[in-house]
Amino acid sequence: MLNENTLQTVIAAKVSAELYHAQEITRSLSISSKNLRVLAKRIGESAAGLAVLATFYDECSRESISLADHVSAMTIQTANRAVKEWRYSIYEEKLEQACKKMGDRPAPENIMVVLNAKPEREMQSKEHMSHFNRELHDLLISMQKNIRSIAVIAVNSKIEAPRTGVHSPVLLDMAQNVEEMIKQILKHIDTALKFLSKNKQIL
Amino acid sequence: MKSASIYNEKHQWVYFGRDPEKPEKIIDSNQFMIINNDQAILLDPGGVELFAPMLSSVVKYIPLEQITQIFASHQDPDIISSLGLWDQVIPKAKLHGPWLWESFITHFGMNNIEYIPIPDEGKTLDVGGLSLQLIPAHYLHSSGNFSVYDPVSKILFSGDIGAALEPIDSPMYVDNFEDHIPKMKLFHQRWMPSNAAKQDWIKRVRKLDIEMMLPQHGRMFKGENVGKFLDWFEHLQVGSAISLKE
Repeated sequence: MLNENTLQTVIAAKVSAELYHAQEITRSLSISSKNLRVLAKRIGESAAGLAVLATFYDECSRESISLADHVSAMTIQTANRAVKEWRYSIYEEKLEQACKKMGDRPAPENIMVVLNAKPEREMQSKEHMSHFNRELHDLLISMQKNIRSIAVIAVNSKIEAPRTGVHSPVLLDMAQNVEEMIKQILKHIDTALKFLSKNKQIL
Repeated sequence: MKSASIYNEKHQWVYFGRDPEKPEKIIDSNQFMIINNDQAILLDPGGVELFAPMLSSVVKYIPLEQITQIFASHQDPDIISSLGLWDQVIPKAKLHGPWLWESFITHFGMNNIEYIPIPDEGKTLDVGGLSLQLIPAHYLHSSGNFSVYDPVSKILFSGDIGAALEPIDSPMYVDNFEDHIPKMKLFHQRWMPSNAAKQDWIKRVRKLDIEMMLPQHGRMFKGENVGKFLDWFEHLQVGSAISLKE
């Protein structure tokens, strides 16, 4: 059975891994949004609606990259903190064992300071984990919404495509690729959210 | 922490290192993982300070449950002091380490992982059907020490042999061998105590077909630079970089 700090470390690492994969695909989305802008410009007036969509698409994908970067940095910091807490809790455990072995002899004052501070430290650690998990959960939900907005853009691009004449097959193909990428990103975000919900007590 | 797939054909070798966020005072180290058929082995997983970035990086490639083995080339803290933490997250794994260091390495904390001692003469190790050769590298630098050779990818993980002490932003591979010599020389002269042991290792390794040599610190060697390293190392007097004041 993993203790809370170990569990938190593993969750942070797993969420970080899912976000890493989502981030990689999001970068491809961003490239695709730039391609759409170039294409809309080339087509000209008949693709005016498409140009607006491309701008919105670019904004959404940049926002998603920024959110993913933020989540990624947060998970790494938290994994580091959880490991420090984990190591400190091992230290406290060993001090408790040492005190038991001391029998009737009084434990040195500095050891007692550490052990007396344990409940407060544990509470602070729990609060921090809880805060982190809530913040992470909210960021993942924001990212999910952002990515879903891109899905709407992809659908609208499909609607706009027939107006662009010869460019229609290229646009339909691009929209198809975007939808596929979105599916994969959402899958990674869902998995990350599932990892978080495994730790309901902390969340 | 940076990570990169350095060989990816029938199986995969992954590199981890050059962590820009590591505490400044600890030496940078290269960690590796071999993945084959849903099983993985960590080679010298690193010190306790690197555990969090290592764990976060490793799970980008494989679920934790698939890490079934760990290899420790020797007993140093930068090699395996993270053991007590890995012990909690992959409790069913087996740790292969020199028999000589079994009762020392376990001081890092090992309640769940099983220690499999490697005999002095080395052995082969199976990772999901891939047979790795554990090659004696005693006194290079530790008195119980092994290298790992993968005959399929032709990669040799050489541990501290070929190591260089360099800044964290150094390139991943040796480009100009001559320029690289000053970065390795003192390390080998001071940390490696035995010329006889050195020659024994070179003799064993020259029989192998090696395309890449991966040390645990500094840049990796590719192609002709592997041979250049062996030639240079063969002529280097080790156990010599000490000047004592009277």
